Amino acid sequence: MKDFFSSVKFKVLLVVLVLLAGVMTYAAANDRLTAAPQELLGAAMVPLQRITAGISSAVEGFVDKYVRIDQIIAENEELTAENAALREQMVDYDLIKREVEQLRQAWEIKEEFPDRQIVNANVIGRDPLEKYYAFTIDKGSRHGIEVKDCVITASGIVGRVIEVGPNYAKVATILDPSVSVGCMVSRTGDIGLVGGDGALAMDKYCAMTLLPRDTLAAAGDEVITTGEGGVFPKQLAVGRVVEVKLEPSGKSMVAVIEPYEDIESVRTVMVITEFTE
Amino acid sequence: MDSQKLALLRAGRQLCYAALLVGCYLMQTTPGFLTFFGAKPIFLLPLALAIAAREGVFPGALWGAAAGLLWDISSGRTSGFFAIQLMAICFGVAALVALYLRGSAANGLLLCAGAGLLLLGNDLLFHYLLHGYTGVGALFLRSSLPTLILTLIVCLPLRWLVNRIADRFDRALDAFGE
Repeated sequence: MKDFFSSVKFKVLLVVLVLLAGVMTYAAANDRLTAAPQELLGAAMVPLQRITAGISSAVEGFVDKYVRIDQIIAENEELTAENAALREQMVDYDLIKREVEQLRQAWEIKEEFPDRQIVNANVIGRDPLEKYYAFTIDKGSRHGIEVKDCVITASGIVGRVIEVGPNYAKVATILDPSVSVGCMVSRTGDIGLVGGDGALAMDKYCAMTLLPRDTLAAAGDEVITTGEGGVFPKQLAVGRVVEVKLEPSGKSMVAVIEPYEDIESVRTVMVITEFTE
Repeated sequence: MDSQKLALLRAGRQLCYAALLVGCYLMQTTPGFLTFFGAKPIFLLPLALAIAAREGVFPGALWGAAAGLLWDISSGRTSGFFAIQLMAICFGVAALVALYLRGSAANGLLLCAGAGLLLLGNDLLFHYLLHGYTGVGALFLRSSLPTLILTLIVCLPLRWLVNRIADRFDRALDAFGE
């Protein structure tokens, strides 16, 4: 082992280490997560990730169908053979149906708000370390997506873009404490900031802070965006109030919000790349 | 002719590891794949450790750096965060196996658990605790620990796969008198 430390191989390892430290310093100094070589590596992985995400989705659909067909078998055994033949077709049908539904929803939003430019995207990556359910989508700067763009579904807002590659983008969800959105309780008009909270995120809730102490907001109220700050357009659905309580400082109230979208399992999203409100 | 075959065998061994690395990256990032109660295993860590334990300090450290770079991409951490740590850990693991430990499955599991705890602990420290986020202890119990347990489960098959690849190429190299 002593010989190793004086060998060329050890010097090579030191050079690699210095290079990695350099890349890390460059990325950190430029307020980015990735440096150019790694961005290329990430971009190269996207087509493969798209395939595996598609397979995973299809298998999930197949398993769902299998369970349902089991129930049908119990009710009506003579239809088993026919159902088995239809099962594979149904998986394709479900995938197409989901895609059509997504396009329809995007079209409805486009009809209602013609100024909004929307890019449809699929979720292709989720890492085990993501405590706040951040994910990677299969669209990037080539499709007009930029950092801070707002990410939504037909149900409500999901998060915002934090990193963009040529054909992929990383999205931080509204369960992440680093994300905050100007919002309003639609019934009472009370304004506050909706964002992640470390403790609430585990139950997939977020917090609406800075509510006035005399707020009349109550469980069941709907929360929408105000458009303040220019990152999120106004009147996007965010979630429902679950509970309103006093903040630890005692100066204001905080509402626990249940987002409308199931952020942990969302598979398709829409990115608003442009809006004029 | 023989030297060409030898070079091909050596390259083939590294290509197999590279394919395994890409496969592990895809499995690690595929949404919903092997996800139990919101936790999923880390594939890149046990793979890098298995390669390091089998191949020695120099290739081990390099494969550790490569696995770490891919993990940096998938987890959205600053480039180099996992690459540097995994490079150092793989170097240490390879040295430990070469000097003090037997390359048994039990030791492999222990090393994976230790390395996993260190990396997941560092991740929580640098990306959650130092940012002032609340509930970090609960995050460790409800998210990091299940992730580590699932990682230990996938550790054994990955170790078996790496050993199988290495054995096959070792036998072929032996045939050439290497």
